Amino acid sequence: MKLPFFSRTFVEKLRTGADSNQSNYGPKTHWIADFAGGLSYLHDSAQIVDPPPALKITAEASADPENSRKIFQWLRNITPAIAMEERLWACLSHTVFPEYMHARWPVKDGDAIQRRYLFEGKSFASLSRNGIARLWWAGYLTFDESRANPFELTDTLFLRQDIQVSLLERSIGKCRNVRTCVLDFLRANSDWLSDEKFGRRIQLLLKELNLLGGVSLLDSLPPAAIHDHMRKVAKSLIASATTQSNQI
Amino acid sequence: MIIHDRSFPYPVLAPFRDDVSPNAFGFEIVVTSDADNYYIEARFNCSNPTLEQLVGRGAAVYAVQLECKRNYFRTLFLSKESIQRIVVRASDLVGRVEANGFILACEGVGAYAIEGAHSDYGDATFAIQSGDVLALSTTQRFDAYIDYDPLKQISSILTIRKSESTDEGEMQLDTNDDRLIATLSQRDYERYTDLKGDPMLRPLLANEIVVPALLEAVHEIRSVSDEDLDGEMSKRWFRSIVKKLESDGIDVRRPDLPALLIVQKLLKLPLRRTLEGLIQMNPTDEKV
Repeated sequence: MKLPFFSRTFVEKLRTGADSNQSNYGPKTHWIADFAGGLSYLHDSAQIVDPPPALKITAEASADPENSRKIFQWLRNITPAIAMEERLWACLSHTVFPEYMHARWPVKDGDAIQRRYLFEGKSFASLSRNGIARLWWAGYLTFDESRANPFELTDTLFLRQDIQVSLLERSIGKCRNVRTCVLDFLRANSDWLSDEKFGRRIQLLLKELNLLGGVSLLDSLPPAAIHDHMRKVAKSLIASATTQSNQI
Repeated sequence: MIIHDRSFPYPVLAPFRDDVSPNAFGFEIVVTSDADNYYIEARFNCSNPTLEQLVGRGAAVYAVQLECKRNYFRTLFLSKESIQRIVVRASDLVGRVEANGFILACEGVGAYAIEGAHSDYGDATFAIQSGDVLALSTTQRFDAYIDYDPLKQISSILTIRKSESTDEGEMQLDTNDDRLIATLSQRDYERYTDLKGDPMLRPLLANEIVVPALLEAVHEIRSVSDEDLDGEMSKRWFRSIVKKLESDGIDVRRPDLPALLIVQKLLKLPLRRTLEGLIQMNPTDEKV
């Protein structure tokens, strides 16, 4: 099949109509043609792809790694320039995977449409928010063929929402070494993930890495140096948490 | 990442700081592009003797960091040379791109002191580690926009087909249709489709077929008599090539212009693109 995409005009129509159009969003797609009102809204791209994979349809985030794998493998040959196209992801969210989208990202208001079915804003963070684009970009940014399980970092990325926000919505996550080191660190320290203060800890860890980046250029540091630094930061975070709880 | 003035625990050469005097640290980029790549020539201008010496003995390097604001592309290019030529695939960059130039330590320096350091530093020396910034530039920017829609079918004048009868043999070109039709032998077509899956190879492969096909096409356009020209213009490929060259100020039927030159103008230096593509796949440049 040829990879489909929406016209720009139709994406804009979906965006401006988001607030009044919420009730249409569900597992079915019949409303889309009506909503287009005769507009030629669906086009075929030059990309020939296999039929779309069957995503695991659930509200649970625990299926994100599996679904990410499926989407990334399905669209493995698309370029970053194509993967930045709102017209593509809007089309896939609305017409190819509506059941998955309805289950995972039910529409409660117009903002949810902007965020999960379209692109919310023009920054790179919007790529990690659209319901389908996020699955592809997560795979693209973490897939590592040299590992026994090339998707092991993808699995870790999806373990907690805080990890995705820290690495995919912040500039520091653009640094491949930082991304890889943080995910490897969390894989090796899975006890961190169950800690109730995990969200705060990951923020502090990234903040410390950012500070290191104020003097050294993180992109130039070998992974071992970033790992060493993270270990030190982690140790001090744990020590400070212990001191605080002892003081209490 | 836009570089703002920031404080370092040691003197850093930067045009917007007075840690080191004179504080001249030049960094300029010249960006050109074609359908496949952006070519970025980065030029550093540094005359600080300490830094020149560190770079000279391999303890520091010139570094260019490119970051695309609208996606996750951020890459560092290192070189011992003050002029770097960087090639980035056009499909990796979309929108505003920021370029920052640095001199970075690439090994530890135990007692670092830089010539021209502000008197406040006195005789102090500093322990520098690999990766530490020794000089930084003002951020440069460019806008990366390709002049075609990455999603849409590029208005193609060439169709590549598999031969129904030839197992192994020469490529054939049919110019009688609306599109040029290149027919590959069955085995070549399979090889072609196998290799086409690799995005790095796609432009190189295309040139292998497109260049000879267009050479043939240009020869055909030139061989048509003036009386038959109108009729031939009804073919889409014919019209498309004539018009495209016209818009570039080239008369394809001018006899003194070699066909090979016309094809290279039409394809925007295909040899350069092929060679750059091969360099990307198997870099032979000296690496730091």
